[in-house]
Amino acid sequence: MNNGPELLVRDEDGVRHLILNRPEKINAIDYSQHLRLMESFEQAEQDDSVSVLALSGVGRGFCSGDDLTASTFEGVDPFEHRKVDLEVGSGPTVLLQSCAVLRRLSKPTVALMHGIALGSGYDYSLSCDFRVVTSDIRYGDPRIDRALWAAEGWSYKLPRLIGQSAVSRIAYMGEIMNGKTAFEYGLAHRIVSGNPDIIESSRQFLEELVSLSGLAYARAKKNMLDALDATFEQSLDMNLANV
Amino acid sequence: MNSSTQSSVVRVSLDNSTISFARFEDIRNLALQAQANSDIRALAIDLDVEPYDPSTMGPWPERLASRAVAGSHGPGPIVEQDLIRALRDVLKPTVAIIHSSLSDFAIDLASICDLRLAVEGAQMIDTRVVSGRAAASGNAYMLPRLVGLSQAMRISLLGEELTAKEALRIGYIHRVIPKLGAVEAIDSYIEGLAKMPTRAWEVHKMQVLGQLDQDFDTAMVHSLGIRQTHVIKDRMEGIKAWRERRDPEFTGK
Repeated sequence: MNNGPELLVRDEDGVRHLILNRPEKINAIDYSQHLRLMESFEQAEQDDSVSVLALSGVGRGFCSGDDLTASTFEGVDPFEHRKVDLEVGSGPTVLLQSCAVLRRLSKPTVALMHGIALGSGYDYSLSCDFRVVTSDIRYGDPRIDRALWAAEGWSYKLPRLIGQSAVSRIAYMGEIMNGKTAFEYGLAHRIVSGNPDIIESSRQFLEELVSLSGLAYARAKKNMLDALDATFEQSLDMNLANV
Repeated sequence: MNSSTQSSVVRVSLDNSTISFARFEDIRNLALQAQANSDIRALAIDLDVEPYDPSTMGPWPERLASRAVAGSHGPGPIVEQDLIRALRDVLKPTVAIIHSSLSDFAIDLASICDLRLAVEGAQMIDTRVVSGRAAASGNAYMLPRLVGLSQAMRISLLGEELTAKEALRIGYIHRVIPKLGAVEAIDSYIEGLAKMPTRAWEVHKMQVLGQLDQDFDTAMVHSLGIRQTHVIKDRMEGIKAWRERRDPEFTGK
């Protein structure tokens, strides 16, 4: 699939920017966009000129969540064979797979979020290594306010990112965080200005990431993600195997 | 015992004047009933427990009497563990309210709840290790996952006393309630929990709790499995209310 205008791809100084570009919908993500994102993540992993992957959005906000008004997907769907006709509909296979690819990227990944970052935008951010926010952001997962929920892996990731106690606030209560709150919970790593835009405001942090040793970063990241699912002794063995 | 089932909330209390094994068993039974009754939409535990003498807790419930073995070290905390299990199995919103003191096993009870409120000025302290006893009713698993190993060791091993404010800072407490108007504020908070889409809460919670012990790939399959096998009736109302730009009225189903 070619990257259409709804997802801008821009390379700057070793950073592959994937920029959500549906400003009329505050970058709500539909099925096609999920497919574009997943393919773009895979391309970034394979491209040696890319040191860092940054996800951001144009317009008023990073992402307003799932596009609930989207029309039926009409392209070639690689997940067609996994669709089932149940009352609850098919599982969120594409979001789950796309987030899994993003999470396992060996390169530094960062979500640059301004304005609004909700629903599936929030889901993608949890799969990044780092999260940069503006102070006035509205960030979180309000799906429970509509008795909805995602199954892309937040329930595994969030307790491990910031501890189980905060999960009650964010996942069960649907708390919408601002930049300060997200930083205090430990979910956001930097608070930056949204002026002139979040990419520009995050330039110094992106440069820091680009300057890191790619190989050392990839090994450290793999060790850490693998160790989340291992016993202490297993993690030591895996560390040795990964030297 | 001090318990009530008003409207859709089961509310129980535990303090030093009533603490006993029989009381633990009563709370366990209420927790089991709360989960089984689809009209119940939240469970709240009012806790006000200072360090107590565990040797004065009275007899074990008949159900477990045969397991109360003699010996210098006494029986294991089987009654306590069963209570913790029962509360963990309540997938509806659970909230602990800490009024002035929280100590020892009452900390474990608070830890197993989804949310913890503390009235301004409340304090918490775990005296078990510093008094030569080993806590064995789940907090060694729960506390590091709730607030990280570093703070868990501070609380459990050093027995440091934490103010409500400090417990809020480290993320153990979710909200500190001002003393003035505390009763009304707590009631209102619990009432709000009982109006949430209970079934959606349950589906969220069964994922989080189950996946604490799973590797990533297993967790993904677990999520998809739950997604395909649990219907939330309220979701139609949620989407409808969102489209009509009004507050939803959830049934909890």
